[in-house]
This record gives sequence, C-alpha cells and structure tokens, in this order.
Amino acid sequence: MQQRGTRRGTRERHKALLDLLRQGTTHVDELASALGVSASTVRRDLGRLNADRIVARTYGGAVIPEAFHERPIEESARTRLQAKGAIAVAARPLVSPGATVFIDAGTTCAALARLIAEHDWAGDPPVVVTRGLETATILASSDQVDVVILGGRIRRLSHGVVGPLTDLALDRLSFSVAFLGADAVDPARGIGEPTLEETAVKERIAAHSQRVAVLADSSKLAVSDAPAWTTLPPAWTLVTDSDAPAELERSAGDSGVTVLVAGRS
Amino acid sequence: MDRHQRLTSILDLLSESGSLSVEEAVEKLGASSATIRRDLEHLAQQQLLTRTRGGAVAATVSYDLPLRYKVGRQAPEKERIAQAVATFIRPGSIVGLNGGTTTTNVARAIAMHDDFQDHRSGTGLTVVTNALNIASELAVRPHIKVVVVGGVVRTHSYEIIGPLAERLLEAISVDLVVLGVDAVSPDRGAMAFDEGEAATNALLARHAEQVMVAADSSKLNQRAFAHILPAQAIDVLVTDAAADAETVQRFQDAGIDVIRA
Repeated sequence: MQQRGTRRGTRERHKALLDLLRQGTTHVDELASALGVSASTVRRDLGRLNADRIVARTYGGAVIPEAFHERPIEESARTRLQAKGAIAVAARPLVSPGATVFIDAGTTCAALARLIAEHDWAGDPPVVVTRGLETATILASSDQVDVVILGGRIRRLSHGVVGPLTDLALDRLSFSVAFLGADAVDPARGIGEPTLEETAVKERIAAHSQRVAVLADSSKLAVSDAPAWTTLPPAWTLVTDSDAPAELERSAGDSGVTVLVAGRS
Repeated sequence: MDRHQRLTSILDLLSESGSLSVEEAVEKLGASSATIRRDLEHLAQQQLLTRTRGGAVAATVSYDLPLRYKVGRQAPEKERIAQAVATFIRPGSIVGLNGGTTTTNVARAIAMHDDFQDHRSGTGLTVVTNALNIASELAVRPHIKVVVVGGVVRTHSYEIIGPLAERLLEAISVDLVVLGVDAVSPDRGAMAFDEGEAATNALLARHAEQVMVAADSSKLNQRAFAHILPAQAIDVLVTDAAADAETVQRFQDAGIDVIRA
C-alpha cells in the first residue's frame, strides 16, 4: 500500500512537471520550487521522463519535444528574443569586413542583420545578400552596408523567397559565409523545413558558400521531426543558445558539426 | 467616413504607432466602440492586425518606416484613387506594383477587396513588386501570391532597384503594371526624382501588357528629373476629381485613358 501510494505520488508529480514544462518553466531550480520538492528529485524525474522519451534534456532542465509546426514570422518575432539576440552576437564575428555574405529570412537572422546594420565597419562593410523581407528592410536602414534581395515568390509564413525565380539570381552569386535559419535542426541530418521548396533554396545557397553557419535557438533542437530536410555540406557550424542539450557538442562532433554556444565562453 | 476609409485609417494609425486601443480609434475616427471592435475583428481575420485585450497591434514585424510613410493620415484622394485601381483589376490577373504612398494604398485596397478572395477559384491575384513594404503587407494574405523582384535595396527606402530585376521579369508575364510616379505630363510621360527608381519602374512597365499610372492631381503637368516612360507607353491614368478638364483632355489627346476617382 505504501509503494502504490508512492507510485501514484510520483505519477502525479510527473504530470505536474509536464504541465510546468508546457507552460514554459524549464529550469530544474524553478521546477523544484514550483513542485515543492528538491532539485535532485526533479532531476530524477526528468531522467525518467527522458528515458521514456517524453522530454528532452537541456542544459539547465528540459523541454517537451514539439511536433513540427511552422509559425508565422509575426509570432516567432515575439518568442525567445534573448536567445536569438545572444545567437546574433555570437555569429556577428563570423562576418568579415568586405566579405559577401548570405543572411536568411526569419527572426534569428534578422537579429544578426540588426547587429550588422549597427556595426561601424570603418569603411570596409560587407555586402549582404538575403532572401528575407525583414532582413532586407533592416539592412536598408544602414548607410554602410549594401543589401541585395533575391527575387522570387514570397512564402506567407516565413517571408522568405523560394522557387525557380530565386535560382535565377543565385546562379551568379558566391558567398564567403551563409547564415541559414531553421525550423528544426539536427546535427546528423541538417536543417528541417516545412516544404521541399525551402530545402531546395537553402541547399543551393549552401552550394554557393565557402562556409555555412546555421543560426537556431535551442527550441529548434527539440523538434521531433520535419517534413523535409536540407542536407548541408560537411563541417557546418551551428550557433545556438545555452539552453541547448548538454550532449549536443558531443553528438554534433560525431557528425563533423562545430557548435558555437552563445553566452558560454 | 465610410467603412473602407475607416479600415484604412485603422491600418494607418497602426503603422504609425504599432498599437492602437479601441478608445483611441473611437476618438480619432468618430465611430462607436462596437463598430471599431467589429472593424478590428474583420481586419484580424484577414491577418492585417493582431487583436489585443484593449485594441490591436500591427500584424507585420515592425521596423523603421521611411519618413514619408510616417507622415499623418493618407490624403482621401489617394484612397479614392486606390479604390478605383482595385476595381479596375481583373480577378486572377498578374499585377505589377512599384513603390510609393499611392501604390501602397493600392496594395491595401487590393488586400481588402472582396473580389480577390480565392486563389483556387481563379479569383486570387499575383502581385509582382519592387517595394519591400508592399511585399510584406500582401505576403500575409492567403489569396495573393506575392513575387518580389531581385536587386539592390535602396538605403532608407523600401525599394528594390537595379538590373537584377530583369532576369526575373523576363521569366514571367505581367498583365497590368500600376506605377506611382513623382510627375506625369502628356508631353514628357511619367517621371521620378531618382534615376535608379525610374530605371526599375521602366523595367516593370516594359514587361507588362498594360501600363497604368496612378497619380493624384498635384503631380499632373509637373516635371521630375528622371524619365520613366513616354506618354505613348502609358495606357491609363487614374487620378482624382480635382484634375481639371483641360488637363484631362490633353492626356486623352495623347492616347491615354483617364479615370478620375
């Protein structure tokens, strides 16, 4: 009777834990405090839930893996802003003066665009080519940086251009580094996208680049699967935030992927 | 103020300040709060804004607007011109739009027009534009396919210029191009202040079956630095009722149909 009570108590606590995770409380200390238990109890619970593949561990706690779900950019512009800002700061040094770089659509890439627009390039600014409306608009405010937008059909949710019309411009271009956004990312598989149109344009961009850096906050690592995957050339770099899972650097290393964690030295 | 004007005014207020309360809208537009709430619901359903507890916030990701888009309420003439252009456009057609306040109004009128609501039944529209702000506003509309031309984005403006647009325009068909201009006259045709813009506008026009110039009467018989198109290349001029009869006649003599909105 004592054991059954404990199991029911554990089950109820697991349920409460999952509710908290869904609501956005993801760190061990916050979870412990909310549940009125010790941090080690929470860690034990998370270990169990992780083993049952119900949660994914992150650096400071856990998240519930989400089904793939493409959000409109207006919505994603309001979420995870600190993480995206930190990723942009970590990525900015990858842009050299005078280089021609590609910056993707999406809010994390827009954050990078903002830093590039605000930076003083001392007379030797980069040239930025983009497929995103927001990235283009942000860089249009800079007196120093020239921005080129690829033509093409605009996708309603992401505001990025896709399609054969986009390929017409890409043929002529070459980039020292391409910064790509992602709806999902897996070091072993590449970038997850909602349709083959995105994978096609991103693969083409990667093929025209000396180096590829994927900018993705840690929520993109917790996505269970994606409708389409962009295969990237080997030895790409992933720039993500400090909520990324603890074992990411190791598993990425197995795939030849370099991980840059923003906010960690 | 009719409903169309009120809906446009709501969107203008939102693009100025990013957010709008029901009270502000009631005060500035002289409508009841029930009417304003219905308007906000209508615009929210079309994803032109996002409802909040006391009002609404702008739907598009906000960024710095060039000064000319910030200046006050749009003149009613531009609104009437925009409605006249939207009525002229055939559902299912391919429309080119360049940048500017008049064509931005046209884009909004298109976005809200009841005729262009369904792509599958062939009544949706394809819009080809070199204006980033127009592309952003129309991109959220499910029944409008938006194509942006490639090119260099001009500093501090929303406009894409340069020869890169040509590659894309050569690969497509455009039924009607609607051009906003800085000046238009029966002898010099359409003109713009900036030669880079003029060149891209000319590119857009060259690939279109029909060329329409949308310009309020203050731009008629004026001059501007760079020539876009000669009068012979213009098919229709849409302007406001303040255009005098003699000016209208001279445009018609030059072979241009004139619509006074």
